[in-house]
Amino acid sequence: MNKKSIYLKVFRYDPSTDYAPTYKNYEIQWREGLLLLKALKDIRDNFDETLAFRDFCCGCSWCMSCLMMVNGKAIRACSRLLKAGESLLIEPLKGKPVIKDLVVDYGIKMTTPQGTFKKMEGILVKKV
Amino acid sequence: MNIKADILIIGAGGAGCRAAIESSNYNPEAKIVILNQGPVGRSGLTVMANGGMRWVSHPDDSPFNLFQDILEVGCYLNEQNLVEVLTEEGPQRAEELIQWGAKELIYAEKSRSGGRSPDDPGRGQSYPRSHYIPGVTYMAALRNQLERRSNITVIEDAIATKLLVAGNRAVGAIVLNIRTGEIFLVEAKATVLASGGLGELFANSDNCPFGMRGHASGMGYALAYHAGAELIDMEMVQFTGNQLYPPWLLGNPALLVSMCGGKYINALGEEFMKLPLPRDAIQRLAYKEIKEGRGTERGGVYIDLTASPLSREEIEEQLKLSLAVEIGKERWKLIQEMSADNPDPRNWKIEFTPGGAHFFMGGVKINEKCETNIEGLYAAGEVSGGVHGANRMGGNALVEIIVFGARAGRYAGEFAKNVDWTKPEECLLKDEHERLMGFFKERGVNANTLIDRLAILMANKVGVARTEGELKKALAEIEYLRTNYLPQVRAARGLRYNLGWVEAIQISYMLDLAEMITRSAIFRTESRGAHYREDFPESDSSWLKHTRIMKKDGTINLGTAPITVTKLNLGGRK
Repeated sequence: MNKKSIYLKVFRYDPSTDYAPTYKNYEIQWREGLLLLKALKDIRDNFDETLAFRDFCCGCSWCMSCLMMVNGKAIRACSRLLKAGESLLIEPLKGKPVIKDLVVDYGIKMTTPQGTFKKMEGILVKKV
Repeated sequence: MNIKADILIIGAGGAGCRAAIESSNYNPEAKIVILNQGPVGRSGLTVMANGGMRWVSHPDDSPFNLFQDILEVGCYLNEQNLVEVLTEEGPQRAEELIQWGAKELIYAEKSRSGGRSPDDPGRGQSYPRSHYIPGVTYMAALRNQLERRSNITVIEDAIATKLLVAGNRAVGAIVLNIRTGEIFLVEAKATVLASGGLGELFANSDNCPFGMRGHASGMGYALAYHAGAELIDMEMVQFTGNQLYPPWLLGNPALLVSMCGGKYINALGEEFMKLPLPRDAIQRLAYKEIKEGRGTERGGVYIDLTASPLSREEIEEQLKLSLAVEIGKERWKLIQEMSADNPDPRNWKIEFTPGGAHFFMGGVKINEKCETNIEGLYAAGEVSGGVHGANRMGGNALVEIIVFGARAGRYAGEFAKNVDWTKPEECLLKDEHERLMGFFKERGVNANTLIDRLAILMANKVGVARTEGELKKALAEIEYLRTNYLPQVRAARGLRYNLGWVEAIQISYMLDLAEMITRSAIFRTESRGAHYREDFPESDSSWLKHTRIMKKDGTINLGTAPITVTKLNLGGRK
């Protein structure tokens, strides 16, 4: 293992053509300040153009369009700083239908009537 | 699966959502279809807006005061009928949004000007009228209203690839569903274009945080152009630049200086400008320093906080404020994590570069009913032009989208009620299908490399300070990209969520848009607001008119159009 690399094991699945999901390994170069979302874009731009993930970024960790499971925990990929030498398991957000790879259908119910929300497992839910 | 709708709305940012809501209110029977490139409320430019808004709320203030301020900032290039609508309807629309659950952050005790939130000096405000509704709660409120209306169908992850026109009548659009790869026709009685801005066209845009996409390809302008719409002031790009360093800071650098008492310093350690200055002047002065060799190695200038009168805690407080930290806790945690070795903001050697596109003032020409020159085609929000003139006053974008979004929805609804569908030509869908499928090729150029190249070209040659020579070089290079690379653009096979394919579709429109901007910039031989020509540094009163673009015989036809004047005579102004 190279200490200056990052190892990502990424969930891959196209429900229209694949019989079952597979996992694909990517090794990428670490650099200072590299975020998980940016690393995924690097993979798509340079190694594997078929990797699908939501590549929109609001820059404020507000929109949660990049929610995904990292080592089993739902987090925003835009706010996850990568450390040199680490290995991560990247999967789509649990409990939502997969469109392709890391892209899920968030469904239509995500906002709350009065716009007041609290965070629960990474999803905006109504404050009771 | 082709769809028939009464009203088709392209884009579900603030303007599109507001249009859908108003259309539904006007006619609860109408079938309304709204498209968005990503999930509604989780993508697009509205959601990333920090939330600054200006509307008349002070007892001594009046719509006419705001009207005058907006025209002053916009260098009198504004369509006055639109500004009147903006200033008069702004408060009502904003209060409505708050009632729907958008959360206004109230920082009265921190305000220096007496408004409900901090006022950024130097933005041309004669009265305190700043308000602050972070984009994410703004969109949550609108989305919630969409969900309550059963006659609105939301199609997420879908883009329009072509507007359909029969005679001079908009009759719908061809749509690509990104989730499934399906290409289908939406027949509509009225079409509302609310597709937003063009940040992706300029490198270092704050519309694309961390270099990711911002759903701001500017495709809507080109769609309208190809449909035969009139576009005005296409040279008017507002720049705010972007931070180069440290990597954890994003957004408008002027904020750090004005809020935290920082200084602009060049590589020689000299303070080269003092606030307050308008946005465009900050950009130009920083650009000049860098061009004349006083920039940093990364190609920027420093913002120095070491001499700030504020303590470390106070600066952190201001930073949290600008991030709306109540909602963006993760972001603040990230900043702390990334700056762990150097936690005191006063010691960050902040560098910023001018030239990233922030907002686009030009766009589709509309009247106060949001009608375009094409019957049944309406436009609202950033894709429309004329409201902001040559420069946008900070905080007006978030007001514009709800005011004009609502108007577009209302009048499109009225139009749709009185007409029938017009069937588009059969072959159009087949042709478009063939064109889009044609991008699946084994060999060729990936669109993302071409987009990057175009963005750097635009930032360097059509950026903050323009000259005829550089603009003409840019034009030649755009043409070079179009003839040599565009035919080779390819995407990997795969219909489902294939972003390479989406980019391949967008790049030809982005090249068209780049050409429109560059040609307009050559045409306007004066400096006004955000458009600065080094070879014509002064404003020229004979240029108190819009540049206007229309498609004629397949090419860009450039002309001028008069400014609509209602309250403030332009006579004698520069």
